[in-house]
This record gives sequence, structure tokens and C-alpha cells, in this order.
Amino acid sequence: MTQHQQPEGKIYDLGYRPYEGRYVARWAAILGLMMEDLRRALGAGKSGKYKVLVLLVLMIELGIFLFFLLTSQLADAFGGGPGIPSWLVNPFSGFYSSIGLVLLLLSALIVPDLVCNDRRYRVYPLYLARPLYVHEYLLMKGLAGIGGLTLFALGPALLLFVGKAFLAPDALLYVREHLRDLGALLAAGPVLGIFYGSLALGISSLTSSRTYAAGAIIGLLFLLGLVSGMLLFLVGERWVLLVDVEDYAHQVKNALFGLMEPIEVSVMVQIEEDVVREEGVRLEPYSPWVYGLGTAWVVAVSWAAAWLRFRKEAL
Amino acid sequence: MMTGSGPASAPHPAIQCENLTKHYNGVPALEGLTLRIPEGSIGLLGENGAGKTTFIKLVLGLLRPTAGSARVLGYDVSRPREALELRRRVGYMPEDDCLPPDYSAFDLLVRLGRLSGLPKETAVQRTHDVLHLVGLGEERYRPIGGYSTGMKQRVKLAQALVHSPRLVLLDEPTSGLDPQGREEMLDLIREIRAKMRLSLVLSTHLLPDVEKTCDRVIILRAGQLLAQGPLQELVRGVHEGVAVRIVGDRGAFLQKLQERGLRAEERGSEILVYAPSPPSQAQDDPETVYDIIVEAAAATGAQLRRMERPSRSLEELYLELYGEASG
Repeated sequence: MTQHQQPEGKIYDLGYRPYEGRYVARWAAILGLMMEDLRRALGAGKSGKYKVLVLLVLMIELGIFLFFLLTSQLADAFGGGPGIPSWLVNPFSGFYSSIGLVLLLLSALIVPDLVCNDRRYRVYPLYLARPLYVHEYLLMKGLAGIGGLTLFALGPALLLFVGKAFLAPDALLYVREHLRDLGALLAAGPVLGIFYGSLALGISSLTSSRTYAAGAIIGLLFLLGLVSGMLLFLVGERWVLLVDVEDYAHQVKNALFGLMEPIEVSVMVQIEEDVVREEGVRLEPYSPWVYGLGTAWVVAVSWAAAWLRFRKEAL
Repeated sequence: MMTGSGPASAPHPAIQCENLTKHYNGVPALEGLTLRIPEGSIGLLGENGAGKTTFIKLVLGLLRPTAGSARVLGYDVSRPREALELRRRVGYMPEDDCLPPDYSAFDLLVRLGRLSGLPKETAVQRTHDVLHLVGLGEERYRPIGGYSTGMKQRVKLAQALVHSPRLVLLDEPTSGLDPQGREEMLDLIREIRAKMRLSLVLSTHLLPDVEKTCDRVIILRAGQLLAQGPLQELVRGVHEGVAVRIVGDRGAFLQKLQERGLRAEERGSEILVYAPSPPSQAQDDPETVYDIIVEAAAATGAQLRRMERPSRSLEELYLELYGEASG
């Protein structure tokens, strides 16, 4: 140090000072906290157990991703053909169908964690004592959950597309030839994220226990799938397809990919008074609009249920 | 209803209610509350079900009044937009345990500060400041689940302060604390009041807590206002006169007081001296009344042995008011 140089330093006074600066816009504050909730939903700042569960789900998804990448490459290598199933011809739609269970498990993990704890530990009044409406609180939490699920759906699907493009002889040509798939892929991920996230939000708002909420989310969709399967076997009529609400979002996804196909089911048919036989029946799916409306209905009812529950709690 | 004097006509009251009424499914929780409270520290007293929590929720703008109106820091709480703005400037410490165990105090306060509209960097800086202020500087990164009851109360207090409110609503802040923890919390509240120069409403059923921290008091019973005003005046009973004991000519002393416009009456060995009714500006001043008594004693050659305003504890006042209200 030369003679002319003065030592420099700053004094930080750890005392209380009134804030006289500007406040940020409410939407910006809500968006910022939604992103923070999204990070927490994906494991940041959470317990080791939570992180392991998220990682486990991610590993399952990675396995599905690799399966579709390899099998579709093999199918391409052998030149395809009329006997190749549609999920191999279009691995993106097949991938989305296969991660239905992953998204269900993930929604049962992250959405109750975002919503139930605030009521269980009565943190919710602390939020409402701030400049925040009930619907804004719900949007903050719900969109964080939906964002997490969409990331888990869309991220690997996009990676699959990029992987397929790079493995193709001409990547640009592949992209040009599969632009419709890319559009469908970009739309289907959010559709699935919104469907699973909203349904999980609606169910989670009914209880303050994460375990009950997770059980109810998984149980309800499994039960409806089971009932639908049994009714199809016993009745064999088309309307039974609508009992399985989880199928709504997947049929919307199929419609986006242009892959709505007849559904083959086994039906119990009575031949004589005491004789029944199992027969294969092809049921035509409903119009995409029906499934679109069904998805919108599930989403709307879920958000309405959550809003009513949280509004009641606020008073 | 008892109403103390004081700066009730200040231009910007902290809380102003006109006939504020709240019914739940027809059941009255708060009935026709009319108040004008200047900034300062206010004790909100009342038994369970008296309407304290309803009052706080109305003041926060979380409930819409059934009738009447309330303005807090100048904001009309029945207008949603104004209620939102108000909540930027009000801090609330709930009575219940309301802290997420998996968050650290630091993370929670930053989050709530940001939600109140502070920029992220400011929220972080103020969180450090406030946690130091409440004595949790060393523990701020630990999950709240591992905190003691006293530490949790401090976190609850800190979250009510992090966004630099002008008014803080404290609902039973000493609830669940041992005597030492209670004293520490009350000291902290006094310190915060002094350092931050903010107004606070302390809702409690613990009368000593109010005596130690508040300079005004509101007493509710079954949703109705029993008394409000400066604590010192309520416990002193400003209109009850001055108790005087003299040795000398009592008759001449009484006459002298009456000549000077004061009303006086003998009660046992003492003389109770009252300001005139209606009071004149000068004679209603307690110091003037004392001066006149001293002058009257000097003029009549009486020895003044005692001169003080009869006072009572807040507890006595509280019981007296509740007794009167119960008939």
C-alpha cells in the first residue's frame, strides 16, 4: 500500500431500518415465488427422501426414454412396415402414453407437497395476510405443480425428438418431415401436465395430509381405470370408455398426433342361457372434441374444487 | 362504554371504525364497533369469543364487514384493492403455530417478504436484519421443525416485521411461553416498538402483557366495545377526581375550592375534588386542578397530607367493566 492509498471498507449495520423503496408488482412477486415453488417441487431445498423419490421417478422415465429411442431406431433400421405397431412408428406418442404412470406418481408426489403442508401447518393464513388473493395463491401453487409435471413430460419427449433427429442420416430433413410431430409433441406435454397437475390439485385441496392426498390421486385414477375395464368386459359398450377419465388427456394427445385408433377390448358375450364366451371387439373412440371437453371439464372441476376449499379456509 | 380522551382527533388514525359489524350466519361476532385509534401501541383485550380475532381479520381486510366501515392507515378495508395495498403495510403474527417445519427461518422470511412486494435482494437483506433483531441470527438456516416454542414465536414475530410494516397485529404473542420466555418476548416487543416506530395491536387475554407494552387499550365483550382509550387514563379514572387529605379547617378549604370553580365532597377522612362539569379547558387540566388545591390549602392554612388521583390496576378495571356489562 502506498502512502496515498487509503484503506477501503464498508460498514454493514445489522440493525433494523424501515424500508422506503419501491414495491415490485404483485404479478412479478407471485411469478417469482411460483418459480421457487417449482424448484422445490423438483427437489431443491427438500429432504433427502423427497429427492430420492424424484430421482427414482426420473430414472423410470429415463428407462422409458431409452426404450423408445432404441426400439424406434431398430424399427427404422428394419424399414418399418404395415405390421409395426403405431407406438413404434411414432415413438413420441408412444412415449407420452407410457409415461402416464410416471406422471401420475409424480403428481401424487409433488402437488400434495405444494398444497397440503400449507394447510397442515397452518401456513396458509400467513400468505393471506399478504397482498394475495385466494385464486392467486392457488395459481402460484397449481402452476408450480403443472410446470414440474410438464417439464417431466415435455423435456424427455423433446430430447427423444432431438435424439431421433441426430441419429437420422439427415437431421434437418428429419425435422422437416416430422414438423407435425414436433408441434403435437410441444402441445401434448402441457396437456398432460395440466391434466395430471389440476386433478392432483383438486384432490389435494380436500385434505391436509400429503399421504392421503397421494393415495387418493393414485387410487382414484386406478379405480376408474379398473371400473372402466370391468364394465367394458361386462357391457362392452362405447360409453364405458368415458368412465376412465385418465384416458381423456391421452386421447387428446392421440388426436394431436393424428393417431386416434379403434380400441380393442375383450367382451363377455352370452351365447345361450348358460353359455358365455369372450370375444374381441373394436370400439371406435369418440370425437377428439369429446375428449377435449372431458379434459377441460376435469381441469375446471379440479380448480373449482380447490378454489372453493381454499376460499372456505380463508374465512 | 368508557372512552378515554387523548389524541383521538389526530388527523391520521391507525384504525378508524364506524359501526363496524360482523355476523357469521346471523350470529353477531362484532356489533356496532365505533373507534378512532391514533398510532401507537394498542392492547386488544377480551375473553375468548369477545370478537378479537374477528376484529383483526376485519382490520386485515380478510373479512368483509356485515355493516359499517373500517379504515386502517387510511385504507378502506371493505374495498379489495385497498385491502391488498393495506396488507403491504401491515404485519400479522397469528396465535396458532403456523410455521412450515421443512423451511428454514431465512427461507420462509425471504419468501414472505417477496410476497409483500420487496425486491428479492431487499427481502434477503431485511431477513438477515430482522432475524438478528429478534435474536435468531445464528439459527436462521436451520429447519424450523427443530426450533423451540420461544424461537418459533420469534420467527412468527420476525415474519410480521420483514416487509417493514407501519402497523403490526400481534395475536397472543406470549402464548405457550414460559415466564422467562414471556418476559423476553415482551421486552422484544417494546424494543421493536421503540426501534421501528411502528404502531402495534396486541390481542391478548393476559392483562399484564398489555400493561407492559401498550399505551392504549380496547376492551371487547361479546362483540361489543366496553372501553377504549389511553391506558393510564382508563386505570386512573380521569373524571373521578383527586383524593385530598388535609389537616386544618375543612369547611374553609371546601369553600375556597368552590370559589375557584371546583366541586368537592367529603368522603370519610378524605375530600374528593372534581373538575367542574361541564369542564372548562383550563380547569380540566389535571395540573391546574392540583394547583388550585395547593393554592386553596395555602389560603386556608390547611396542611396538605395527601393528593392523588385514585387509580386501579388494569385487572380491576377489566373485572369492573365485565361486572357492569354482566349486570
